[in-house]
Amino acid sequence: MVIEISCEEVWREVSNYLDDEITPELRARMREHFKGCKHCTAVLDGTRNVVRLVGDAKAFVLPAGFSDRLYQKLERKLSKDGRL
Amino acid sequence: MNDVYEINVAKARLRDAYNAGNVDLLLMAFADEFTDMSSGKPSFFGADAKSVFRMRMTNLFEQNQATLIVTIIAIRVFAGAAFDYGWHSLTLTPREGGESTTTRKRYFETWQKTASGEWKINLYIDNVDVAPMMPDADILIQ
Repeated sequence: MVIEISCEEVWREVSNYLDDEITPELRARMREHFKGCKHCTAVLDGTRNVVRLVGDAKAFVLPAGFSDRLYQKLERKLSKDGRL
Repeated sequence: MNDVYEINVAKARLRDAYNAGNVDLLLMAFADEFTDMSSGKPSFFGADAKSVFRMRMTNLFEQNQATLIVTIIAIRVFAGAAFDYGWHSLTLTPREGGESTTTRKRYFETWQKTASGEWKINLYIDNVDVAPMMPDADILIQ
C-alpha cells in the first residue's frame, strides 16, 4: 500500500526529491501523488527548471561586485529586521 | 509514527477500500458516530450516518467498479483532533457495461483520535469541484 502524502509535505520535500535525498518509501509516495496532482507536478517541474538554470553557469553572468553588494544589502535588511 | 503520517495511512486505507469495493474496510475509516454532509445528499448525523453510508456504499459498489484518487492538500493536527482537505476524484464504471464517469470533489473532513490511538473521520463534507479560472470581470474591477 502506498501511503498518501499531502501537497504541503510534497512542497517541503520537492527539492530533496530532485536531489534523490529521500527514502524509497517517501519517493514512492511522492511519485504517486504527482500522478494525481497537477499543482504539485507544476511545482516539481518549476523547481526542476530553476535547479537546471542555476546549475547552468551560462544562464547567469553576474556583474562585477554583485556578490558584495548582495551581502551588504542582506546585512542591512537583516539588521533592520533585528535578525542579526 | 507522527499524527500526520498516521492520517495519511488512514486515508490510504480508505482509498484502497474504495478501490477494492470493500464496504467494511471503508467504514473502518469512520468514527462510530459521524456527520455526513456529502454533496447532493441529505445530511446524516451520529450512528444513523454510518448505517446510511453503509447502504449507500454497498449499492454503489454492487453497481460500479470504483476508482478513487485522493489528493490531500494539507493536514492540521490539534492534540486529539485534526482536519484535512483536498480533492477526491472518483471514477465509476458500471459493472453491467456503459461509460465510466469521473466526478472530482473538494472535500473537508475532521478526525478524532480514539482511546486506542486510531484516527477516525467524524465529519465529512464535500462539493463538486470547479475548474481553475480567472475571477469574473466585475470582481477584478473592484
